[in-house]
Amino acid sequence: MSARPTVVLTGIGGKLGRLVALRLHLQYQVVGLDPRPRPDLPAAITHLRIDPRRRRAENLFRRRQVQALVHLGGPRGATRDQEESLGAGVTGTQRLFDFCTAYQVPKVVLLSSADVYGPLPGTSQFISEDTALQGDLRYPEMRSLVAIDRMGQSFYWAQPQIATVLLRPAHILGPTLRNGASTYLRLPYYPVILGFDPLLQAIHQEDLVTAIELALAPELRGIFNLAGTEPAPLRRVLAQIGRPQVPVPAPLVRRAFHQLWRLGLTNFPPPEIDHLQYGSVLDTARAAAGLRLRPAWSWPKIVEQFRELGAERAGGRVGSRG
Amino acid sequence: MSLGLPAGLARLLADPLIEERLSRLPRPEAGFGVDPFGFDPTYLRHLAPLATWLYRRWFRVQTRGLAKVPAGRCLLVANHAGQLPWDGLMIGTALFLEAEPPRVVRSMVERFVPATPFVSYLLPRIGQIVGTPENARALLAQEELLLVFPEGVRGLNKTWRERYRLQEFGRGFMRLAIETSTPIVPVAVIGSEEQTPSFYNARALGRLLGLPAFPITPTHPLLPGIGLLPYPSRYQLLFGDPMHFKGDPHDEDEVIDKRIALIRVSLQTLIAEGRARRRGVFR
Repeated sequence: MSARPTVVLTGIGGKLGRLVALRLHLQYQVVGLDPRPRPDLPAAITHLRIDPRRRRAENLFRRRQVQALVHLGGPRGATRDQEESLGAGVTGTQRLFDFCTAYQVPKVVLLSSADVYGPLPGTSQFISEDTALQGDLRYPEMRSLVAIDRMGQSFYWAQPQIATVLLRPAHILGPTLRNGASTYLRLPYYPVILGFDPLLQAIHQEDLVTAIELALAPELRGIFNLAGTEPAPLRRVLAQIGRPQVPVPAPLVRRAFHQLWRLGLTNFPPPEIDHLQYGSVLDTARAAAGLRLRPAWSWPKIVEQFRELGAERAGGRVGSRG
Repeated sequence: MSLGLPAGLARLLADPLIEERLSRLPRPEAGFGVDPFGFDPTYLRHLAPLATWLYRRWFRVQTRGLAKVPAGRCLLVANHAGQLPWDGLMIGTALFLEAEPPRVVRSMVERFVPATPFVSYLLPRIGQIVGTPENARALLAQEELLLVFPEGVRGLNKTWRERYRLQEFGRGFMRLAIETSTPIVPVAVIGSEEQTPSFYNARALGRLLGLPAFPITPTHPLLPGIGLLPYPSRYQLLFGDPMHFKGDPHDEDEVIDKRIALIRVSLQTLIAEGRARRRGVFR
């Protein structure tokens, strides 16, 4: 075993988790916690297929000198099953925070989402980190995401000896990610809402991983909005990618998706439809100054990548986990 | 989506001056041609011909003191009248056509706009955003020129009997100016009162129809569809000297009101000057 500091990474079973693990293992001893399988990891990365709520997870913190917890394990967006996601996400997060307090882990990085602000019509153009969280105002599906963010904030204030960083990224885009935004951009044609063209902001998966790496700096603490791109109108981004757009009236698409979601016929979460209708632009000044994040992926570069990807078939493969 | 005019009309209104002014506006690059507020100067190409025609031919606007508007951030504070905000459009057109260099006046819209199809993005594209204090602050931080009507609908929907009488001012603009040390330029609009003279505001009927007001004018609602088109009263725009305010933006209302009184006096003086100067409502 090397002398590299140990980082516990939740959500390693997801695509984003794997990317974070691959980057961090160059500097850290990465121990992944996730019940989901992930066969394609280098041997140097330990993957424990256990639920963070179980005792074996606590054993990990007790036995090893854990330098940091990187928690991606919460739900990344809307969740269908409230009970299950509250259990796994919220209780799991609470357990992990308890371990960090009990076994003196000096660093915690929690990946939340800018969805906690929720796209709402009529809000101010630039959303700062101090804006009230209203993401669950319109949709109960967003409750656990907001709950976990609030837990992160409480933990940040209650445990001043732990340098906690809470990250709230805009849409995370990547060629293989299966979150709502990435899947949408891979569609062969784009349903858009008639009469709306909101400003869209995103962060490429590479920049997000860089942000997590930067957040691991020992003394750094705080809550940071993350975006890699300037805001741009959704339809101009889509036009640049160059696949056809199909405008549909909002009430129609909303009703249809609520029914499909309720019946389990789509994995595209209804709250994501709001992103096609109302924009929200993050104020990222704090991330630029505090985190010193210098995004490498601007819109033209991201557009280029998605243009080159083969268009996916619409429908069943639309997923919500990153 | 194009909101272009019919080709014939567009040719009729085509004007090399407009193209020249448009070409001198700064172009945002990062967001595929829009700034972080969603403003795209190229959209003004659709609006400018009509606005210029109204400015030159319909309202025959005379402008005085435009050079007093300082470079950089500034709040234009104007009296508001005439049932529909043609006064705002004419102030914007004056700054676009006659200021050196041409400037875009940003103004703020109601909160229902982002939830309303089409205007949700068309208004931002021509420089209008939702009126929240944060948005105003962000625009001023970007050194923009912001137009406010502190009377709001109280001024816009007032009746003929109260013409050229300033209604109660909101206080937000003054707190904003103090906080951001932004100069205020008072702008008196003459002619807007006569464009749509209203004898009576049938508020209850307006509420029933979901409208902010329901003016009864010589032609509205008598001539459906066209009754609210403005009469060609001659417009004058009088720009006052920039005023600077210091202090605590969170001061009590009475303290803020004293400063607002200075703006009202200045605006009233400009209005009186403009009215004394004109030879007739339509001349």
